[in-house]
Amino acid sequence: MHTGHYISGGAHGFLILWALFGGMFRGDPPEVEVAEVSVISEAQFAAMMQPQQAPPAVETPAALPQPEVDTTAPEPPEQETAPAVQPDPVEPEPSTPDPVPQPVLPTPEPEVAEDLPQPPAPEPVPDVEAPEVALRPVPRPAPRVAPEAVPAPEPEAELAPEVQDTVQQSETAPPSEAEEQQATAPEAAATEIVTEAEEPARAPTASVRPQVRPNRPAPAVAAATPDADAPSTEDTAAADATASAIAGALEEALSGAASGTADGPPLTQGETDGFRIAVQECWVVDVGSQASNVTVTVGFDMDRSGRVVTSSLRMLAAEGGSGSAAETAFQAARRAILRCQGDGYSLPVEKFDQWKSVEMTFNPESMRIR
Amino acid sequence: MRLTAKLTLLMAVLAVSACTNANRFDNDAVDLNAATGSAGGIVPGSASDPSSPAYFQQTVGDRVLFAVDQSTLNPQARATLDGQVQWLMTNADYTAVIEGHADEQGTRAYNLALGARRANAVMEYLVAQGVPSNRLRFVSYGKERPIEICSEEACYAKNRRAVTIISAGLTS
Amino acid sequence: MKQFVASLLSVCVLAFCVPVLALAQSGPLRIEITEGVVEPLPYAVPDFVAESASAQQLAQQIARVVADDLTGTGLFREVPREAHISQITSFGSPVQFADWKAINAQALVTGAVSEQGGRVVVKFRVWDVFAGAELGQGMQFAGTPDGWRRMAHKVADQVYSRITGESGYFDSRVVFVSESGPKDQRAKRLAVMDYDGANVQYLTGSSALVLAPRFSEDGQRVLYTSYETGMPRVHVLEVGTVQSRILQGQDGVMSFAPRFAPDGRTVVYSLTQGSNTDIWAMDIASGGTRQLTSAPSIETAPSYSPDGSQIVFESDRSGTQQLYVMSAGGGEAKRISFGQGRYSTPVWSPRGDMIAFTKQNAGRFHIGVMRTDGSEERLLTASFLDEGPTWAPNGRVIMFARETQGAQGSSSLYTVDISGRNLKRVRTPEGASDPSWGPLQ
Repeated sequence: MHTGHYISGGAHGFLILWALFGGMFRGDPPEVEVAEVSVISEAQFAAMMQPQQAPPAVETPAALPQPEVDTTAPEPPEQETAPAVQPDPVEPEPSTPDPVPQPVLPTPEPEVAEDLPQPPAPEPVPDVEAPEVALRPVPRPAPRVAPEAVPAPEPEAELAPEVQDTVQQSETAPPSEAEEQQATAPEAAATEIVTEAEEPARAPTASVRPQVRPNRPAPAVAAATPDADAPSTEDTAAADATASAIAGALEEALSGAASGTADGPPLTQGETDGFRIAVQECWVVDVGSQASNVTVTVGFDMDRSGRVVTSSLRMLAAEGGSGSAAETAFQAARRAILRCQGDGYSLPVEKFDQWKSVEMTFNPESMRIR
Repeated sequence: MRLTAKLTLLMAVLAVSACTNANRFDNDAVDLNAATGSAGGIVPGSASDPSSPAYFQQTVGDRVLFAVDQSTLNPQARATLDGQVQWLMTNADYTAVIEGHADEQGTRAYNLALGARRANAVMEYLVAQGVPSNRLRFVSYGKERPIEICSEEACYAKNRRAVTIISAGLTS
Repeated sequence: MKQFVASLLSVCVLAFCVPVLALAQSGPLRIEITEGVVEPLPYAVPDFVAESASAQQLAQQIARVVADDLTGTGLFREVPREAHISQITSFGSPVQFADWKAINAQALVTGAVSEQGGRVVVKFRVWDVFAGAELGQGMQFAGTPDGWRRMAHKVADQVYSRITGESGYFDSRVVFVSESGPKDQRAKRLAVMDYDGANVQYLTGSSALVLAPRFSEDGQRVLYTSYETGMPRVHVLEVGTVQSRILQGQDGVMSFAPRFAPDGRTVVYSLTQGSNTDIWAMDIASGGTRQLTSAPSIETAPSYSPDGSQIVFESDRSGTQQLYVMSAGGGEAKRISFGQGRYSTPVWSPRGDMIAFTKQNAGRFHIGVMRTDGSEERLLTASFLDEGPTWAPNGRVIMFARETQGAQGSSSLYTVDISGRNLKRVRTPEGASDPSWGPLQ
């Protein structure tokens, strides 16, 4: 794949060249020397835009016979096209090529993130806007609009998708969270876009409350199926996660319960909600974009630790927009899934079979105008 | 010396004459002189001459005002225009351009059209009262040429106007 | 299916056939997400790598303009350079995605600048950090050093386009009226600038009053209203030569509010005859005119749909200014605005799906957008006087003029995203009004 990138970079790239002229305007006011580049023709613009319609980055690019050359690439043939905004060139530069596709450097080998040593802890990202958003119950203009209003974080808190208290050997916290963690808080958010023309609503549309903690491992009881006939499987679950998942599924199937998927004992509502909320916290919708008209379904696989198998991410369906809008919607969904996984989504490992393959639909309909 | 005499005469005229048309723009006289002086080069002293454009402007009254978003002539406006008719009929070698204006509370293109409505209302009235139409034309400046610059009704009221500008000689 | 599974399961239980069971259970987990967040996407633009000593300053400047462009949209938030963990020291080196993930930069722009013999070459790449992959392909632009801002805008347009899937608007220009002097002695002249207010050039002097310039679709010509003859008349100006001429064939007392048809051959404008103002169309080449409306009311501010088939305009035929849509050939018009207040200066969006307008209600002015049938009206701004929206070439952003109140009031240009977010002032050397956004270059 990396080699593919490498080759593809060299093969697909385009060089866009244009030249500049001086003295474009001869205005009535004192003559101002304008250095303006020539206008690009439609065809050239199309050529320039072409790379963005290239296959998505995740796809393995087709190997092309283009050598991996860079600066040794020959200069492009000069274009005859005269710059349109330049009827009277002051200095007709001999070499004034308009943008011309040209091979570009090969894509360097992308580093696989998982293979790299963990970087030192990043510096907290200063949140410029947040301190201004006080704890007010009315929606106010905030750079972020989220389903739930979130007050501005404490100044020392680092921005993180989920709320995380500062934990110090908490008795209730699982061992994995026992070490001291930096307090994190969600970025300040309003529940709706508040334009200048709108008076902020008197009452909040959503209350300010702590968010669900999707990453915290669910307590054992939560892992149990809601079915009342499950006591015998509980022990199994404790003993062997895999067996438990199977047994739970078995039990569900045998009891004929159909509360969730048709395939057997589902994750509890709380578990799926936790997963859903974890992803939606990272799903950035660009309202007003064409992509916000697209409902996209993304399929992916997960490993037992709750991490997404990156290479398995694929668009299964998209409706409501053009190809590029769908591609953009897919990219946004992909980023949401990858970005919010942290060290893995918190899902009961004993039900791995239930979530090892996921189809997630991102429907922005209710987001479009807020 | 002659100038001083004329000014004195003007003052006398203003003080004693039984003006048939209430001049509502006495307060603006100085401003108006300044404004038109730069554009038209009217000698202020000539205002004492009843056949002078300055007399028309200051004594007869060169402008009428309008209500918000309206172009109808109220009785006061018609009285002013009757005076304009009289003057124009008496001074038959002058032509006039009627400038229509709007206040700033409106969008540019609409205010241009609204100013045209106002100027045209004045022109139609003058023509109906007997002024030959070939001596008149109109133009609108919309909200581009306010004479008062505050953003209050007191200023807006003075900006919603149609001004009759007199010039010598039949040109059209 | 369920029955089949159930029966299979019962067999399996008896046979203790766990593996088979596992297979039977493994359908994908289906989850629907309907709530997301609306927030700027964090990205990083380290200084571009200077590949020649003389390009040091340009490399920094270009990266800054790219960042200003992107951040200025309100759709992106730059992760400050102080927070960067790894530095980009060579354009060809592998990107340490983990370092950029750690600072939550979702997109990364790397670039390099070289300068030799008065020729500047700018290369760049865009990376999806969390996918660990390049977005699109590397690209390069070349030009002379004083064209560096345009090269930066072109880079930013590419980045914007690769992340949002829509074309950008950074390498575009705006023609507008530059204003100076107090309200009662205001001098106006036509000017053109980059979309961000840089590189202002004046197209006319201020001896004659000029109003409402409008770019042609290709950005080569500008229609405007000038009082050069003493009466408002529609003029056309060639941007390249700064030569202007009055459009022949204009009857009536005054003509104003011109706008090009998408094909650039027809001009639609308002013509005043007597007290009546109607909309007319003129073939520029022949000067032949055609009256499109004939109501006794004021019809003005016409704007074509991008396909050229329809015209939206304002009319006070109902008693107050409202918006109407008619065929480009004239004929019956359909009212589309029904809210409180007065609607004016409609402009059809380049995407064709929206109309931006000015609205006056309860003593305030607003810029708003609605669907072309008048539905889904949304007001984006509110102030003492907002007026005259114009669309960015990609239909995402609206620029308009805002006049401040009082004797010292002056006019400035502002932009706002069509979602109503990111209201910003455009910095211009003097007062500014009547913007018209040109095409992406």
